Amino acid sequence: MGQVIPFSKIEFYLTGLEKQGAPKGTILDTNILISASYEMRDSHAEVIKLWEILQFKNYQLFATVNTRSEYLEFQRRLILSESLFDATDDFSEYKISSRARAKIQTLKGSLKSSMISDPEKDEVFNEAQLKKIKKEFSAGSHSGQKGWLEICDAFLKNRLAIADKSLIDRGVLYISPNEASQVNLFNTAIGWDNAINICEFSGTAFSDSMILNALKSSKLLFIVTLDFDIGYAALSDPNMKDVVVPDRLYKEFKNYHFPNH
Amino acid sequence: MKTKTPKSIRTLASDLKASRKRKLTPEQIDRLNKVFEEIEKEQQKEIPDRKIARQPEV
Repeated sequence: MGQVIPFSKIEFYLTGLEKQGAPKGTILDTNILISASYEMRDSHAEVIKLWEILQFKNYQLFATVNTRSEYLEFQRRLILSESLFDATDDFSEYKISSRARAKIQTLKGSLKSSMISDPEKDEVFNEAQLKKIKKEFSAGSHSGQKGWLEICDAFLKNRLAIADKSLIDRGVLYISPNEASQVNLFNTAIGWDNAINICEFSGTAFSDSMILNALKSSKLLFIVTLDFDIGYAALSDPNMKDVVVPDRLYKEFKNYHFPNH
Repeated sequence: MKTKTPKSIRTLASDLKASRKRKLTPEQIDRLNKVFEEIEKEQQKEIPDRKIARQPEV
């Protein structure tokens, strides 16, 4: 059964692991990658601090296929959102059509309103909003999706690649059982059946179940996350590994009276 | 094999912000504006058609 460790106890926890001769590596959940990369997140500073401790202690930092793709998905929406905000502000040099401008400004307004009711929400369009905006960049007899493709070429091209490379430059490795240099990092193959079992056991979102499955299949002993559900899965599953979470989240688990917490 | 020292995590957010805020070249802006103007013209042409379509059937 896994335990949940608060950020404030990370150094003590790592010292314990080192005495056991455990592998010096961990998986970083998507929210850790996003918080480290986006200063607007409340958890940005504490994530940076934790990241530095892990690197100082020479821990390898891994992203999985899910965490890397979810991080890139966030970056895609962030890049497009900020570019569209800038392109429609009062001092913009862009001659965006009145229909598209109106749609972007309306959706930006509803985004701002939803941020008032949910202060943790990012000022970033969701996929449904981006799809509505995309429609406004094509017109009946106009050349189909050309307008939107030009926007992607101008704003998204290279920037998403920079977002990916920037993580790699900070020492994040992509965990893969197919990577020859990582063969010794795995106890078992990463299979769908085990991910389904994790999901069925605690009802964890399937993408989280896949991340936890990667952790379980590997020799790594813990994951770092800001997600309550990942901690919940660790405390409830007798075969799960450890989860490192912020102190405020750690306190929330007290209410659940898990025997190991 | 010598391992490359990772860049500081402290610069990740600011580097990405700088990348997002990087200005387009005047040529890129012109190119985009030509497309946007074309879309505007096409969308304006659609307006009369839409009005006709909205009229109730007799």
